[in-house]
Parts: sequence; C-alpha cells; structure tokens
Amino acid sequence: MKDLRISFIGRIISSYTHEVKNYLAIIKETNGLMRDVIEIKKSRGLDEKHFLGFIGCVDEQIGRATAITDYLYRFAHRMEEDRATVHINDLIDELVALMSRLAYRKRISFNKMLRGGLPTTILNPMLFHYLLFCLIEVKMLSLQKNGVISIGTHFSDGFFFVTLTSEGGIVPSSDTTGTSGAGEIEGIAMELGAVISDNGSETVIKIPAVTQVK
Amino acid sequence: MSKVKVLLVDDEVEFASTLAERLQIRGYEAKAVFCAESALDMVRSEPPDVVLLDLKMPGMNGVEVLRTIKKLSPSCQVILLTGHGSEQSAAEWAADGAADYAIKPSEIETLVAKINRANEKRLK
Repeated sequence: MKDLRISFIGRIISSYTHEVKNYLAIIKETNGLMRDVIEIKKSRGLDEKHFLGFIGCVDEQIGRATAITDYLYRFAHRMEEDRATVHINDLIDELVALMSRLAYRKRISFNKMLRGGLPTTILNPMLFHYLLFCLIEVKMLSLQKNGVISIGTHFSDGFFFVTLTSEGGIVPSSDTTGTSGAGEIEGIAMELGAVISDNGSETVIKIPAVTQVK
Repeated sequence: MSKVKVLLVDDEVEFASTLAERLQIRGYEAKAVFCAESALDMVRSEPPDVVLLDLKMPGMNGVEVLRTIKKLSPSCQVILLTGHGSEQSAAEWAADGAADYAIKPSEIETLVAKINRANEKRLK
C-alpha cells in the first residue's frame, strides 16, 4: 500500500512540475523576445505598448505559477499530521488544482460545486486526498476526451457527502482501475471511516463529521 | 534563397506564439498551431520544412502525430520538444522518424542550430 501512496505523491508532483515548467518556458521565451525586440529597435526607438504587453504576459505566468505552488505547499504540509482539523472543501480545492494538468492532458475538465458553510472535521488529510485522487483517477480513465468530472459537497445529519459525477463519452472496455485498484480504495475508505457508493457515473463518499479526537 | 518554413506545434499558445515570433526575427518563416489536428492540416496543405512538435499535448500521442507527419510528408523534418529526454527515448524517436529532440525550454541558439541541422538533412 505504501508504494501506491508514493506513486500518488509522485503523480501529483509530476503534474505540478509539468505545469510550472510550462509557465517558466513562457517567461523564458517572453524575456527572450523582449531582448530580441530591444536589439532590433535600439536605433528606431522602443514602443512602450509592446513592452507593457510582454510585462503583462510575464506577470500572468508568475501569478499562475504562484497559485499552483501555493496549492502544492498546502498539500505537502497536510502530510505533517495524521489527524488535523480541516475544511473538506479546502482539501478538494487543493487536489483538483494539482490534478488539473493530469486532466487537461486527457482533455477532461473539472466542475466544482462545493457547498459553502460546511463545518470543519478531524481526519487524516493525506488519506482523504489519496482516496479522492484514486476515485477521480478512475473517473478520468473511464471518460473520453472533453468529458467533465463534477465534484460536489454537502453536509447532512452529521455526515459529509462528496459526490463525483462524470459526464461525457465512456471509454469502451479498458482498464479503469487506476493506480490503486478497488481493494486499495476500499482500504483507504475504511481507514478514514468513510463509505463509498457507486452507480457508474456517480460516486459518493460519505464521511462522518468528527469534532473531537477519539 | 527562400526562408526555411518552420511549424511550431504546442498547446501552450503563449509559448508557441512567442517562439514563432523569435524565429521570424531570425529569418525563418515560422507559424504556430496549437493542436495536432491543425498541425496535420498544415502538413497536408502547406508542408513545412521543419516541425517543432511538443510531445505531450492534451488528448494526443505525440509519437503518433510524428508518424503521421512522416507519412504525409516524408521530407519534413520533425524535432520533438519534450520536458525531459534520454538516450533511449531519443533512439526510439529516431526510429519513428524524428530528426532530433530538444528539451523544453531550450536556448534559442540551441533550437536554431537544431532547425538548421534538420533542414540541411532535408536538403541532402
């Protein structure tokens, strides 16, 4: 089980580094183009508007890189504690941002429908991330290009419900067990005290709210 | 002497457009497209001399696109853009018809040297 967890972390890091490398590549080329234009226009005077465009592009890439780095930073710190008081929606935000590149490669998009005002709960954040990753991965593997995975949350009668719904064409008869496999998913759910129900296109994770460490 | 026609294929619009502009400044007839389908359309209608092809684009297998380009236009030289390369993968890509590969991002001088080398190979 530990190897699979390392593999999960590896995939998140690879998704993050791919994203950041792209931003850095754009910054590098934009700076290079600025240098080229300066060299060409030295004798003809420089066009301020042209340069403001370059600076805007670099700012945008730095903003994107900073945002995704912030998610990875939070994701990494979640692993420091086996039990922590968390907002379920925050955990989902982090994981979805970090999985965006993996989804984008398959031309799959995420649609978050997270209900506001949910209470906090005490759980193992890394396990929750891992469970959600495995379930999203299974949905991604089964969806064709341009599919959408909707992720919703709500709270009722002392339980959190996280609903994953896939919309779009389904890949015909392929391996959709993902990195983990069904046994692994059941094992993580049990560790979290969660129950998973699945009807094909919709998967629901039901997790009890915990307010005090047992 | 006519300009070397370079086609950049990368889903990162800003990256591809900026790199194309830098190549134009250096005297190449460079165009950028942002998906494999557009790249194959271009190869059919207006075959470039050299293609710079990102290996990892959404919903496509870069090596499949490489093979299709070589089928449509065997003289077209394809340089693969990749996040990381190795001797082993380079040999496999060469067997599929790639002229070369470049780590993304590369220095513009490195890329220009690779484009020129690939074009010379095409002319031989």
